[in-house]
Amino acid sequence: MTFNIDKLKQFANTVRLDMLDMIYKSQTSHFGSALSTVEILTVLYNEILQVFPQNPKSENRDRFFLSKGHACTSLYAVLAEKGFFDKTLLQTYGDDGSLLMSHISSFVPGVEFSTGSLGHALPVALGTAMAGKKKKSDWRVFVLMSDGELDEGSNWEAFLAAPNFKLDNLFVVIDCNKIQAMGETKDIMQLEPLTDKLLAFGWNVERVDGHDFESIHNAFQSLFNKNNARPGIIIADTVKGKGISFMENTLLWHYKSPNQEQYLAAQAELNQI
Amino acid sequence: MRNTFINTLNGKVDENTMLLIGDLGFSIVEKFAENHPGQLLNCGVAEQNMTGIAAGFAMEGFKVFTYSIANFNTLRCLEQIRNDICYHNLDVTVVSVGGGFVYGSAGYSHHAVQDVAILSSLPHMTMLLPGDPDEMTYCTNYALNNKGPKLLRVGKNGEKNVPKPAPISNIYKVIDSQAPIAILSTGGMLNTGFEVAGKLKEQNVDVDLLSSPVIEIEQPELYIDILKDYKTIFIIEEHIRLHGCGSIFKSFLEYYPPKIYTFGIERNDCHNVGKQGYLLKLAGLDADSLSEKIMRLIG
Repeated sequence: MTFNIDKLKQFANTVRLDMLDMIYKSQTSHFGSALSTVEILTVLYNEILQVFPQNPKSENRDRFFLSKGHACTSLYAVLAEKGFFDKTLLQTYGDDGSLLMSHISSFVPGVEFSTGSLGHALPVALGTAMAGKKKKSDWRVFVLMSDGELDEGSNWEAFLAAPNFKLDNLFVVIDCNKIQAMGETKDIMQLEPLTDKLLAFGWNVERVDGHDFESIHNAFQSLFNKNNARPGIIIADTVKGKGISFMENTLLWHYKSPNQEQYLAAQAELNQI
Repeated sequence: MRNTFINTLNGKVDENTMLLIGDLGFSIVEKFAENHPGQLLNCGVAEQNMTGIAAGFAMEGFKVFTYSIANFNTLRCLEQIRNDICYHNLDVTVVSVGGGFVYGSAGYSHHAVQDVAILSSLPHMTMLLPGDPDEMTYCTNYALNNKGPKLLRVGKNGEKNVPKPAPISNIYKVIDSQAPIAILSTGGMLNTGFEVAGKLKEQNVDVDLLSSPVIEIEQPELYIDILKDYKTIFIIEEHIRLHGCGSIFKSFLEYYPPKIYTFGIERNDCHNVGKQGYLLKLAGLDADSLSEKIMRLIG
């Protein structure tokens, strides 16, 4: 263990508090989908990604794609916390004319690519990873996607292609929070056995608790150490709405934004951590 | 036309150009692969993924061409073109072989007759619609020399070159008879337009024949200067009449005098199958039908 768990916990909690403020003020949706990504993004931005907040477009940066663009509040909050832009910008989230629209925008410093429609980022990441290899670059390409978006055929085209193209500089995390827009993923479009599927497609696969910093970190290290010319993927089992008890594992918080009472209750719960 | 495209690329590209194919281009793309090892990538029969991959390469500074036929790399992956390429204003040229009724006998799946209408509505998109090998060279060079999203709509092999002087502002004045009437050909209709002009001449009607292989949607002034002083313009296209090139030029000339008539395919005529010439005749886009209609309209 090379990192400070307490520091990561504090980082994740600050991110959740910022997200709560953004979503309460703007009364926008997808809070639950964003909350399940927080530990994954916390590990990525503190321990894994080589990024340069003062020079976001540095050629040497690792490229990170948020495929589940509707979970943008967590990435905006993480980028602000890392110093890519002033935290006051977060207060404009969802405002008319704001830089921070409610699906991830590449006009925001530190954001590689705009998404919103599902199933787009992984194919683009394949192209970026291939471009990196052509340039003989050391930087790597990372993608965070949702489990619900695995219904999209474009992702499976990319899952098939990436091992064929031997993209061992490509690393994907599936935020497997098991709830999609109309209910539980297992009832809408069963994905399991997901590990077996991806192994059969030729990926290196790790499956971890997506809220456990050490497990996420170790899974990345394991993938980095494979050296078998295959792309790597982490299936991160997560909880939709993670961190705010009354939002956890509920479909409603895919859509809902908190009223004042709920906002204060959520804030009090996060402040206790 | 396909060979002209590949031959033009072959002589000009550097190592930062990628040609992506959707498992099509047999006996066409091999020359490129030989001359540019590692720069031809077969993405398989997966146009959404291919288009996303193109965007990923382009984000890293590559000039990218996606190559397939009919509607496969235009409509199948429309949202990837819209969101990934056009929204991010990336340097990707979608090369669609078989524009119009080229694959007419193959059925409606292979009739590429809505591509201009749909793709021209996307941000930053430029239309490259060559009518003969000369224009294909012009369009391919345009794609090589200009960044941003483009549709390159390719006809079949074997089109004849129509003799013409160099273009001005993307428009070739193929026949300059100083007439107040012009036929404006777009895409693969150039040879037909030339034939129509000949038939009209036989009936002592002089027309100019114009061809516009490059349509820069955001630069209407390029075209207005050349077109605004005509009394009447007949626009012909192998494409759905509604929202096609005729509509684009009508919008360019909205505040100018020319009376504009558009000839294309009607959108509900979708169940006819047969060779290109047969389908064009059914659509009234053969030289005889067009010259008759034009004669009637000019009285």
